[in-house]
Amino acid sequence: MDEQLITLLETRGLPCYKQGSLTNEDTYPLSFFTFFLTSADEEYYDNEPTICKYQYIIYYYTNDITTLDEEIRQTRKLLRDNEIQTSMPVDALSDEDTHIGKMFFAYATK
Amino acid sequence: MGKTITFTGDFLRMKAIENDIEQSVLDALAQEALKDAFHQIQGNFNQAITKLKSNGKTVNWDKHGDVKSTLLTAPKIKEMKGGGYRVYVGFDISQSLVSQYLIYGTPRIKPSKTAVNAMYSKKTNQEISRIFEAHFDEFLSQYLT
Repeated sequence: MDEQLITLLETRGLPCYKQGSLTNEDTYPLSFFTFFLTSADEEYYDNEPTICKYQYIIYYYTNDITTLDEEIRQTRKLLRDNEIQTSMPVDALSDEDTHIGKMFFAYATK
Repeated sequence: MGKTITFTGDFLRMKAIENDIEQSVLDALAQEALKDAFHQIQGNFNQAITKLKSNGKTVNWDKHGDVKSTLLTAPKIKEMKGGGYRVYVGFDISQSLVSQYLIYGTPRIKPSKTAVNAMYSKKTNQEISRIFEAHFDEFLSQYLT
C-alpha cells in the first residue's frame, strides 16, 4: 500500500518521504509530501486474509502559503478518486521557519 | 491534537425506535458511555506519554516546560449538529503546540508510534466499542426481563 500511495502522491509532481526520515543536513524541498502509517488491520475469512484497512497520516509542507490550501484540496480529490477517503486537514508543525504544513488522515481498504 | 470519540445521532435515534425508549434516556446513556471511554483512552494515552520517545531518545519532559500538564483530565462532552455527542481525548491544544510534534512528528522527527497507537490502534477502537456495548447491554437488559 505504501508504494501505491507514494506513486499516487508523486503524480502531483512533488517528492514524497516518510515522516521523520529527513536528516538535519537535508534541506527541505520547496514543497513536498510526507506520510506515516498509523494502523493496518487485516480481516480474515476461512483462515485467509480478505481485506486490510489502512490508516495513514499525510502531511504536505510548502514555503508558498498561497498554494497550500489548493494543493491540499487537489490531493484529497486525487485520493478520493482512487477510493482513498480523507479527513479534514489541520495544521502540521515544520522544523523550518520557511515552511508551513497541513496534515490529514487517509483511509484505504485493500 | 488528539482523538475525537463520537456517538452518532443516527445510532441513538435508531436504538430509540427499535426499543421504544425515549430519546432523552438514550442521550444520557450515550454521554455516560462517552465519559467512560474518555477515562479509559485518556488513561492509556497518559501511560503511553510517560514512555514517549522522540527520534529514539526518551523524551525529557523537564525540557518541555509544562506540556505534560496540558493533558486533558476531565471529559468535555459536546453535542453535535444533527444529534449525537463527541468527546476529545489527548492534549489541550490551545495550551501547547509542542505536544503536536511529539505525537505527529515533523519531516525531521519521527511520529511517536506509542502515542499514535494509544489513540488510533485497532485495540483502542475495540476498547471503545466494548465500553459502548457494555453500557447499552446493561441498560437494554432491563427491558428484556
